[in-house]
Amino acid sequence: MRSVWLRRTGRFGLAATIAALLAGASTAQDDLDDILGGFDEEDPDFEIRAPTADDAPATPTWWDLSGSFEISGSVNFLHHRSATGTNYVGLQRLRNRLNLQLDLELGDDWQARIEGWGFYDSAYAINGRHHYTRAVLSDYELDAEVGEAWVHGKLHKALDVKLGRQIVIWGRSESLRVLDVLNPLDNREPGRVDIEDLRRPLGMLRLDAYQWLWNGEWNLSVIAIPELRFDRNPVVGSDFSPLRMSFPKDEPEDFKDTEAAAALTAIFSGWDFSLHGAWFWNDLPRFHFDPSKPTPGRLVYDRLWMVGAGGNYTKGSWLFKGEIAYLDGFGFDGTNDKSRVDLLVGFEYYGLTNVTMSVEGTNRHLFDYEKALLSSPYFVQQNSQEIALRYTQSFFNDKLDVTALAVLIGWDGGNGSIVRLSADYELRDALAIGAGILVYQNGDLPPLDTWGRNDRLIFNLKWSF
Amino acid sequence: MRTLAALATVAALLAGPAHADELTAREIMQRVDERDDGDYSTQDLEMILIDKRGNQRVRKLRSFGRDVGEDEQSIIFFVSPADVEDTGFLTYDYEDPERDDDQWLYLPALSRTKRIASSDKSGSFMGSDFSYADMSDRPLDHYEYELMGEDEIDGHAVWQIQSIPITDREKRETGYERQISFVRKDNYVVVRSVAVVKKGKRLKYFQIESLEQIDGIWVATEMHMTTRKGKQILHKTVLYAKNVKFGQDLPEDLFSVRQLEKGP
Repeated sequence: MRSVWLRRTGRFGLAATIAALLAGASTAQDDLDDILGGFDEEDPDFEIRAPTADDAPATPTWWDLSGSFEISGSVNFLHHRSATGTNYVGLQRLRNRLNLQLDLELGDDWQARIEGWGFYDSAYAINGRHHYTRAVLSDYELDAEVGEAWVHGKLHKALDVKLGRQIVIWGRSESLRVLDVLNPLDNREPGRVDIEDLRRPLGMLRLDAYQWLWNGEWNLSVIAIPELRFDRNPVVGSDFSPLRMSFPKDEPEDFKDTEAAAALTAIFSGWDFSLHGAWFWNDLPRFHFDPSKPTPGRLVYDRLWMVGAGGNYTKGSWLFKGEIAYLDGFGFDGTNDKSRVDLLVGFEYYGLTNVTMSVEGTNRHLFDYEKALLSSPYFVQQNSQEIALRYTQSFFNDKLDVTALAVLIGWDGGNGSIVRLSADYELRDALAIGAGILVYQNGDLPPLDTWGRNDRLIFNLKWSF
Repeated sequence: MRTLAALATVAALLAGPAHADELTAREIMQRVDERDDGDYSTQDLEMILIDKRGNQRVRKLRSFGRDVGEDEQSIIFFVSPADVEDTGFLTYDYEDPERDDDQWLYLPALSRTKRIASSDKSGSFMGSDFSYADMSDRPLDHYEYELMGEDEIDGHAVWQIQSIPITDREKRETGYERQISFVRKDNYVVVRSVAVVKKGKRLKYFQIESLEQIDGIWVATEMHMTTRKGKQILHKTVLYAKNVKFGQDLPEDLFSVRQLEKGP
């Protein structure tokens, strides 16, 4: 039976249709020939180098020295005076940073690492060192640290030990912290600290037991942390500090005040979960007035209990994440200790080619809240929120990565925000250049009420070896 | 064995070539799919990424693979360049096309393992012209095949077969409108193929430049993938596979997050 369409075209239409089909067939054949012709078209500019001459396996030798040298800078484009009167405008960072890492293979099952870094920031000499406080020069001009330094090995087929300075990341979040409470942070330049240097390693003894069970990989981790280090925050006189004077700190002692932690993690096809417990020191100090001391105003650290859980679930191009933690032991002068529940939910989406997007949100709820806590010196809300939005796209076969990150404090960013737009370009193997802009918005409460007008252009050049 | 050898290794002469000329396109592709591509494998990979100006970047990787029933597991570590050294990638690739693969990425600079949702496979594999879809076995039932003709490449008789994805999922995951493959008649190796990429109307040309038999298994030891738009070459990847070994005594827990964080 002829189709309705064919009946309507009539005899002329039929002839035209046959001609069109023949032409179409001819065009299709031309297209195919064009497509297949691509195999024979070589571009003379594409001279392909031969593979590495050695045929030896590319496995590492028993030692490996690697590292990086990086020049990074910040240029503030708004006039902004710190609480101590320094005008932060123009070049504010021209940092030369060297990082060295030595890895050792100590037999089949044992490894060791020692890493260290140091930097000199020439921006202070260029601008005139007399413009800055002693604390700023001490913390920002010249600095060096031993980073990770550990020995890791297998005590038994299913039992690992790792001893030394190390980083342990709990939780699933990319940008916000709920379960990730063990390692302190370097927050000296919020939003600017390179993410690989964000966490400060701690001396730990970590035992990990592994077991395959119910089609999942299980890991029980038990950790003792005798080395106590804390967040590095903006110091007096810096562009992000609201303070005009510093306060003495009462810090817990290494070994005597050892932290303890444990986690149980199970990884299955398409989902995973973990349970966490920790008895640790809050990395962020709080103000405490002690009239018995010569300097009554002091910064002290609270010992906290934390129990929590986290998990991931994937479906298609979506990765969903959640974390919850109950923390107890937050101290405040003039009232009893408080507890808090932190909740995080978020997702990542991988459905667009070479694009990753993520959205994360937290709410931190303080129990037994008193209105007085909203005023000096604590400035704590009963419920506080953070939202993190991240978009990353790769171009030109991963030569160029563009990232947009916004962290909003409060559901609408009303309590402050940081927005970072940056691009990293691979000039050649192991040599990358980056540039971007950081925009800060003031919040209503300290310390974020002094963050506005700190907007800056950022750049870096990094060579890895 | 997973990864790139899967692009080109072959069915080990499951049927005699005497009857090969009577095979349908679908039967040929089934034999390609059912090829013996080895198991418990190790190999070193060297990828040379060449942009349209001729600038070259080099990526070296160490790869391990094994089969678990019909499923495949692989773990890949970057050896160089220095800024990505020890970055690891663990994949559980399931035969069931309705089941999402499991993937984890270890980033040593962050001391962190990230789970990745793996549905979209059209993205570039490590900056190369190969996509994640090129690295995976594709489900036979999600394609319509047409035997377009026969030809000869480098003195070997080949079939020319067109594959068109017929499921939305496959179209979305691969990003390909269609693919024309040249399958060697004597060993069922896809020695050439061209894929029409939906996005940007690009063409991706795959070609094996060196094919070796290792432990009785055909392995492509030099492969080229070129991305073109019209007559212009946009980017090209040359992939060398070295030190390819099969039947290795790999630890049972090699394909785990634990090992991913420990390194090669």
